[in-house]
Amino acid sequence: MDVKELTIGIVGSGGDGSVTCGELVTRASARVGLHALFLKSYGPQIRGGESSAHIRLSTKPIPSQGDRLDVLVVFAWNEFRKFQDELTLKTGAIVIHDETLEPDFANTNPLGANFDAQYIHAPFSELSEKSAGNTLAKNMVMLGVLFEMFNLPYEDLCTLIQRRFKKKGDEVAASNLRAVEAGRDYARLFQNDFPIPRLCYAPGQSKMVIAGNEAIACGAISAGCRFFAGYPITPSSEVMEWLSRELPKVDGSVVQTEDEISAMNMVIGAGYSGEKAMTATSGPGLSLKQEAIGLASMAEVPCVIANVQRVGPSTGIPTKSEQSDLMATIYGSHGDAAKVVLAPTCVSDCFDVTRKAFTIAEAYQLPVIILSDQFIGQRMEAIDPLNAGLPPVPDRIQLSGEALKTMQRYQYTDNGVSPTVKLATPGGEHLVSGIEHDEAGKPTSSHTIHEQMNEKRFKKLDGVLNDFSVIHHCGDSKSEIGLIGWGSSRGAIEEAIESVGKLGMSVEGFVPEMIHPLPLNDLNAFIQTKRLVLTVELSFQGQFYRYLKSLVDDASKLHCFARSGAKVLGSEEIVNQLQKMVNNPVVVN
Amino acid sequence: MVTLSSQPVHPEFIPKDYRSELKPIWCKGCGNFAVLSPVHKALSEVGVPPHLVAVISGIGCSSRIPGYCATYGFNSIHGRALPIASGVKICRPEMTVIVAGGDGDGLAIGGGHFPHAGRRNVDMTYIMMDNSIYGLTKGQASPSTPLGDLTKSSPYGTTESPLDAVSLALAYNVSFVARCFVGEGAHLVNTIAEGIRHPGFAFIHVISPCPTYRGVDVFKEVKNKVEILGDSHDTYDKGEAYKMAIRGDGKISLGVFHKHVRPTMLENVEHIEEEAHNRGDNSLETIFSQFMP
Repeated sequence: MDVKELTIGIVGSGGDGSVTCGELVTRASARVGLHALFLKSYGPQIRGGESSAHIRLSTKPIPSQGDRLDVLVVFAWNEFRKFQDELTLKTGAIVIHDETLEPDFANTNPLGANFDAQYIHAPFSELSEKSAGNTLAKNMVMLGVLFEMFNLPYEDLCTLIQRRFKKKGDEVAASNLRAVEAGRDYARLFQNDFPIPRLCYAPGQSKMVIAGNEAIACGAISAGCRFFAGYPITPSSEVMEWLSRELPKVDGSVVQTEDEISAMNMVIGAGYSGEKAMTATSGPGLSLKQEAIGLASMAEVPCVIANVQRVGPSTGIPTKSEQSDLMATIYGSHGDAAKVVLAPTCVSDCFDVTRKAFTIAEAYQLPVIILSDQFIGQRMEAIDPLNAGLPPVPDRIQLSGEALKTMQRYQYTDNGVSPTVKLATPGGEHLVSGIEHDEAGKPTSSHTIHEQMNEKRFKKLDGVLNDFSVIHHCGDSKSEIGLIGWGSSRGAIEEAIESVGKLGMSVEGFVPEMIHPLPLNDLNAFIQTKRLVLTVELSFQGQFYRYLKSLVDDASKLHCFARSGAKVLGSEEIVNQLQKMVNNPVVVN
Repeated sequence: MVTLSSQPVHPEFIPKDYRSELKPIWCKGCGNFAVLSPVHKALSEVGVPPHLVAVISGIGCSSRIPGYCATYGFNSIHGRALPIASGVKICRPEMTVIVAGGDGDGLAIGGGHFPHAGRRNVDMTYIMMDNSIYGLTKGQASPSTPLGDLTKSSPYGTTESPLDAVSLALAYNVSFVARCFVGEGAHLVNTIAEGIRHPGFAFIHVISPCPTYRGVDVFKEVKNKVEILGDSHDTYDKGEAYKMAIRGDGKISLGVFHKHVRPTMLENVEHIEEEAHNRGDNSLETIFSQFMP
């Protein structure tokens, strides 16, 4: 039976290569133009240990990870239990495992004794031994089985394996290819025994395989960012690692600083000097950077901060996703600090949003926070190749010559943006400061000036909203049911709306890219046309719901679905919540 | 990134060219007055034009200095002058960067940045005006307040042993380590000028007594103890430098304790860029193509 979409889970112990296999499936599929979304998950070990891969392949763009697996590959059942939360199977799914696991499995099937699945007890180890001379290649055998059964691009897999093992010598590459072939031949034996969902596609243009963090780094380099300072922190370190290698190629520099505070301040120094500069971090680092973010706001220094959210508070769960830094980014830093918060919703969005963050920072001279999360940051997607031909974003307007004579660094203007000058320009000498200052930059403790300066700094947000706000709409605009979410929830929201559509419920989705300033007019207009509105998010306190409730005209229509993170938002749970709200709209939370 | 050009010499600049019209908020008799004017003098002596100078500070009495200079200036937040200044210098190598601050700023809240500025050897001059007290907040103990001293926050006497900034700088492998006293003006001017000319991170510890919260006598007490290092002092000998920094005879040595030349942060950055260029085509197209499977 032909299908247009397939979701595969692979789980095993350290050394089983579950993640490597997941990556090979993703890359091979991307080579023939398939859409792919690949999540990896590890146990707590620094190296090795159990891991799982979750891959969704489709001929159409993929909004989310997909709630249930069509196929599960298990190298070790005891490891499967650790990922059971994240790997849910469809009824009738195909489960493939090594036949040597069968006795153990038969006694204690973790899926439940009566779970309806098609089990394949494949001789991975035996075939590996025969084809490659040892059992190390059993994951290659498995890939052969997988690619043959589900009609994945076998030739592309072979190319990737050849390339991957070339460094280890021709014989290593050859034995791995023999193992893949052994798996393929084995799968041919039973391909007519029962209905197998075979992926049906016409090969197209190759896609790019990239993670959200890398897409942020690419967005930065494309925008013209030439300075990065950061401190290693999960799950954002990939931004720094990638830029450390790539930025010097375009005459940029990266500094790994002594702490998060230093990174933020160094970026402010770079931004002040006229460079497009950025840092990346995650929750604990964001907390440490807050004071300096306020400085960037007060001194009006353009800079970009990528915050890749993880589970908090405190250390939380560094390797898992949550949306609980929302309030900290909007209202964090003491005082009234004008800044912008943008939330990318998928991997390709990371590139565009990062470019936009630099555009806004430069045009409006303020800190811009990219609020991503682990779910976007560390998952890989097959996307249309990023455009390397885009020009750098425009520089801030800098005065020179005669104009400098009357320049006031913090001059009141219609849009709040004051003139600035490139460092080292004769006649442009001036003072910037974190202390409240007058138009000329001189320190002041006047209430009147402070009030005017606050107005000036916050006036910039009106322009930002006007020029750059984007809202991702989906579903039926005539619907009386609304669904609002943000960031990485977008995919699950879109899928939930599609699912309830099939059940006869019409819902319209609203996902703002600009979290702060919030596009309030659009939001109010949206809510006005609705009878009931559900907000969804991964925050125990329901930070997004509370934020909206504090700002929108008619908060009485808002219903909240908020839960803790560490498990990505699925469309099924949103569907359930929508049904619950419609059937019993009084109290949802 | 702009490549570092040799510093142009403009002998026509006089100290007044570096002075802004803003009137300092410091108390009468504050040692910082006697640092401000030597900074202007040293800049004119080196001959760097005001538009190529950035004075960067954190928070504290002495951190007000950028406002009193007619150069580019950044009066930032408590303790963070060094990272901000590093960002400026890395991105604008043509700037002469002066970092100014106090003992609280550099040894307490910002103490974590000092060793790393030393390790990186960013080519800038860090002037720490040490008055052994928190003056801006009106008289609490600082990391260099002598043991047992009574302050507003130590009414029973301080119990924590004071830090010696010079010894720390030596341990941090700072490539230029000096100590000055506001009562030795000419020496201060010369040392700041030497620090600015030093190719690397120059640290100048300046004893700058606070008459308001440490008493009017401190100046005289220090004046009687200071002794400028003679020509015989070997600035390459680190052991000797430590000995002179913490001499046990009640005297306080002034002068350059230690200096050495090693690659600066900028030189390292340039070296890395060169290495990166050697890896082939550096167009964004090629860089992005690594993600094609």
